[in-house]
Amino acid sequence: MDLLENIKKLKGIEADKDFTERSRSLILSAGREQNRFSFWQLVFKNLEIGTTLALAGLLILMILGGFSAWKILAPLQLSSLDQASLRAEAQAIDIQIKLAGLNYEEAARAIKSSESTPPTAQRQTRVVGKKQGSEISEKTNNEAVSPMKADVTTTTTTTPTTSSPSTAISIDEALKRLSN
Amino acid sequence: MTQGKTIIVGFVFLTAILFVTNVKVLAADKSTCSLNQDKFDELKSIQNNPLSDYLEELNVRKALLLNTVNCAIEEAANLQMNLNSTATNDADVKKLASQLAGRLRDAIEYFEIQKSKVADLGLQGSRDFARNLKDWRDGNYKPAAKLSSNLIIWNRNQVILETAQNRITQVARTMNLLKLIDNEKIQGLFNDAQTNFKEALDYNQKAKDSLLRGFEAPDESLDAIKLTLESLAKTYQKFFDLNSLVNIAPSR
Repeated sequence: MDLLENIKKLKGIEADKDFTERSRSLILSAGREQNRFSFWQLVFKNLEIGTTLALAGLLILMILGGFSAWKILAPLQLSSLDQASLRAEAQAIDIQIKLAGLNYEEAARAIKSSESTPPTAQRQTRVVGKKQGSEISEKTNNEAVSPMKADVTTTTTTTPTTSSPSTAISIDEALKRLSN
Repeated sequence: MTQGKTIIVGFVFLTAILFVTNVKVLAADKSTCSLNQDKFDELKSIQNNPLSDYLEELNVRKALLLNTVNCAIEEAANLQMNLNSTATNDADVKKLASQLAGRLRDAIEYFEIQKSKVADLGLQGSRDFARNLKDWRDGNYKPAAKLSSNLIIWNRNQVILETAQNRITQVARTMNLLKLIDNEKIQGLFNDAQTNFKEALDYNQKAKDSLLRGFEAPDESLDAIKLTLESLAKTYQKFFDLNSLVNIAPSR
């Protein structure tokens, strides 16, 4: 019974008035201080996030190869004067020069051959005759490129693509021989 | 299961591509033309042999004539095929290509008709046949064939010229961006490249004008085509010199 009455008395417990006031003022002043510095904290916080993102992005870029610091130290590279592509283009010109130097029979065969066979297998037709090539040199020199002089005679023979022990004869030559 | 299906489909697709490529190459290599010296040596030995009869010689001659006519047909067909596949936006060039293809078609028809006559030829007839066919080719077929060949080469040059033009534009842009154009030597080389390229364009135009004049002067167009290529070669020589001068690192 005493216990019950004691428990009932607990209902009336209150904090000390002074303590209550002191605590209230403490709580209120703490909140106010936070509000006073939130703007700068916000700014620095955003700056921190932004810097973190930027650095992360830069790191990803470097990993993916978008930027290489050592390229600054390497010799200057100009993609517009890339040697490999220049060489490929120059080779195309060389092929055209050779085609233009053939007579129409061989040119037709060479064109057909170049369009149906892969580039590595293109040089199967051999023209026998006097011909000075206009090879484009990759080395630095001040010599002019020698002009192409094709002196292919009408009896020029070509090595056929299929291996044959005998020399091929042109149509004109064949008709000439059969006329006699 | 899905992965398995993908692999099978991919394999079938790859096989199909390989098959088509090989068929195309085989078709291109399949040639009925085989004019060889040893066949003519055989004819000569028969002619020189007093014991051989004229039938033996006639049979060899007929075989050679048939072979020769087949070669002529194949040659004309190749040129015609290349002409027909000439891709161009120029209306005049297209018209010329079409006209020449027509002439080659007529030549093929003529050869086919002549081929059918070979079986009935005698010994002297075979000689006359060969002579007449050669004359006909010289007068009718060869001018069209030469012009066709020149046109095909000229058309292929247009792609090369376009590539060279793009190259010059790229190089100019790079030179200006990196202020390399201020270097006297570099500027000199680049100016030379531009001059050579302009020459190439001029010769190219001359070649086109000659081609469009038709059969008047087929050699003229070929000369202009060769000069175009020469100028292009000089242009690229300058590019290589520029390359060396700016100490480009070799590309991988």
